[in-house]
Amino acid sequence: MPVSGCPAQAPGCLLPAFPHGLSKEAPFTRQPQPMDTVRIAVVGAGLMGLSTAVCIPTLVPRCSVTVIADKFTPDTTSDVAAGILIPHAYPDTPVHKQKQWFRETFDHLFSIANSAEAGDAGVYLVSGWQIFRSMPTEEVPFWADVVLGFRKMTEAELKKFPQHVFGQAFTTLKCEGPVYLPWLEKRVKRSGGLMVPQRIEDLWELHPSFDIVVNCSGLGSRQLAGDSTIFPVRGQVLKVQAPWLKHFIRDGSGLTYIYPGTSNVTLGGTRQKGDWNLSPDAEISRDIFSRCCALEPSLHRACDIREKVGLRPSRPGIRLQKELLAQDSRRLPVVHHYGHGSGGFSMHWGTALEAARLVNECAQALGSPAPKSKL
Amino acid sequence: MRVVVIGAGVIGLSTALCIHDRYQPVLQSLDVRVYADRFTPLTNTDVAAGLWQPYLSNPSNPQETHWNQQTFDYLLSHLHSPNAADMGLALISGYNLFHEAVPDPSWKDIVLGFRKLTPRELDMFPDYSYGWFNTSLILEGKRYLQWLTERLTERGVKFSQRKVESLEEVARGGADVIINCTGVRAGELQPDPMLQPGRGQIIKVDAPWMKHFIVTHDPERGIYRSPYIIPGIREVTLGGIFQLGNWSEVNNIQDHKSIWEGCCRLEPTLKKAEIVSECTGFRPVRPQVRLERERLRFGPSNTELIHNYGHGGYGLTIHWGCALEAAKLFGEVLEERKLLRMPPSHL
Repeated sequence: MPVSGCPAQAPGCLLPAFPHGLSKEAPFTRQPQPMDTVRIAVVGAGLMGLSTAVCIPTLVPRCSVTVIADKFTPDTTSDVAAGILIPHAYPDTPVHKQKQWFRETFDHLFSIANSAEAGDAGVYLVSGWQIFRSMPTEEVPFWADVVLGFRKMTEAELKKFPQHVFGQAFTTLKCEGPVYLPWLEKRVKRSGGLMVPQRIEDLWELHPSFDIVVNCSGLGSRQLAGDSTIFPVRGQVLKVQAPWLKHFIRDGSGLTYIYPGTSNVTLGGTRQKGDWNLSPDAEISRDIFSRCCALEPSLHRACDIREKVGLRPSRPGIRLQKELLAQDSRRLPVVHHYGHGSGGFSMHWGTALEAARLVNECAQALGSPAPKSKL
Repeated sequence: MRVVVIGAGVIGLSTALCIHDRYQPVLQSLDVRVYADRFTPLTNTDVAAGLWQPYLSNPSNPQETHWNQQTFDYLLSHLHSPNAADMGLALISGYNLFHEAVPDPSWKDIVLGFRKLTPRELDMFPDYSYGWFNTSLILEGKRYLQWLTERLTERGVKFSQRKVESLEEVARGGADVIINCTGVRAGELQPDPMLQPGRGQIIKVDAPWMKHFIVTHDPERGIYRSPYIIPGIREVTLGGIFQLGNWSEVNNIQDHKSIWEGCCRLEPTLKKAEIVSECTGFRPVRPQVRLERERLRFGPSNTELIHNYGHGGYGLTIHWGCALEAAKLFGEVLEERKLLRMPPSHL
């Protein structure tokens, strides 16, 4: 469980203005900070919030980081995702950027996978196949040289999938939310970061306790950032016991997939645009199971089947952007870092680094005597 | 027609099943029995990691290449059925690592997706400079023996737990044909100077994040004497011991250290793995598999003997091809005795 803050009214701390009449035991207070510490609030404790919270202290000198969210692992969307590193294309994000972020994420996780930390971080290598029922327009995707050993499947390999005519074989990484997120939380805390369980209804709540806000609230940005371009793409998955499965299998449509994990196998899935329903649907579960068994008949022996639902925070492009909120005489620099849709795990480290760079720019601007409008 | 199979490891049970399924339809009097002093989980098959992979060098008997292929194809055909997991069968991909470039193995076109390792992949293994990646099969010894036992029991094949002291004893007991699948201890029934134990020791750990096999090779040390990591269905087998002529059934502490240090060096994430069990087994090492007929005479009658032993460290890899060959030899016996009414259907 995340740790709440420090004693109320510790000297040197600023008490936040609380419009909601909450107790005087203000959770935003912390140990006294030197006056030139940049106080950074990260809203959201999913993959983006936590990884940004880890990156920020490495780039921003003299800062404090507080992660504020209504949900922490294991209750975030990131906990439902299988965490396999296979990128999704964002129509509004330039391909060279997507490739850069994917490469940065892959390289970062690859070194963790090969270290003694791999188990604690929940990161490991997995090989498998992406298969297509008809020839894809792009036989070699932009990320082919980032994953390992990418090649076309042989005829003999394709025999395993009689309904499919083409396939790609490669080795990639799996990053398990329920293990990776707690590991990130530990890293945040080790560098002095705080976790605060609190639902934020308006980013202005963070003013003036914080100097910079990083918005990693995913779908919450509809409200917090007034962004109507972000919408849920509902994904239902099954988590089953089938430990004999060692390979991932993904249908090129992205609708049907089998991702073996450390403690279970994720079977998916659905892509239901605009659907906010978080309750699993039994009919859908049967359909997912049936589609996956068609690809991998041994799944008929799978047991201990559990249903999960996650709402992918989908957007035509990932929003990585600074914004200076202004209200009367108040100013609040915000760095937006959200909208990864299906590709969160694949892009997270690259975009977190970029978000941290933007935060640093904001921090520099705070320190300089230049007019705030420069932001 | 009483057939006694001696030995209940993978060779004994698969040969029994193969013979039963091929000839029972055409020979109503066929009575197959399995005699063994050790059954699963106490056989050498139970100790094997179960990775389908022949030796790197070509076998001295070219038939063995064919038998390996037949086994792979047979197992692959079962992969698509819901029973695969019950058999202990699964696809697995992984790495073979070397200190220098080596020629491709003869089995490169049998396994799936065989290719050389890329430089980035080799970076993961700083002690090695060359390697292969391919998709092969795992056939877990223990699960497979249980599955074979169930199939044989369904077919009415009887099992008898006993220590056979001599082939004569079995012949005089009424066996018309004896299938000798006694593995590493075949020498107790009939001396065979070419057969030796290749002692192996393995550690089984809980490491469910490992999805690939990693087999290293050191030509100076020889096969199985270099660390290997082979994930099974639930546990991961760590090994790297091969001691010719060593009959010690006891786990050895030096061997434990050698395996543990070698495998952790190869795959540092294993340091956090919990050890589940450790065991010793004896590969039935022979320059080539003994798969041939012999006629014995005890008293007035002839007893046909079919030998099927000496599969070294590749028993699971070659077992079905050998079972088919043993069944073929059995068919010859039936023909000679004019017991076959019609040719057996091709399995």
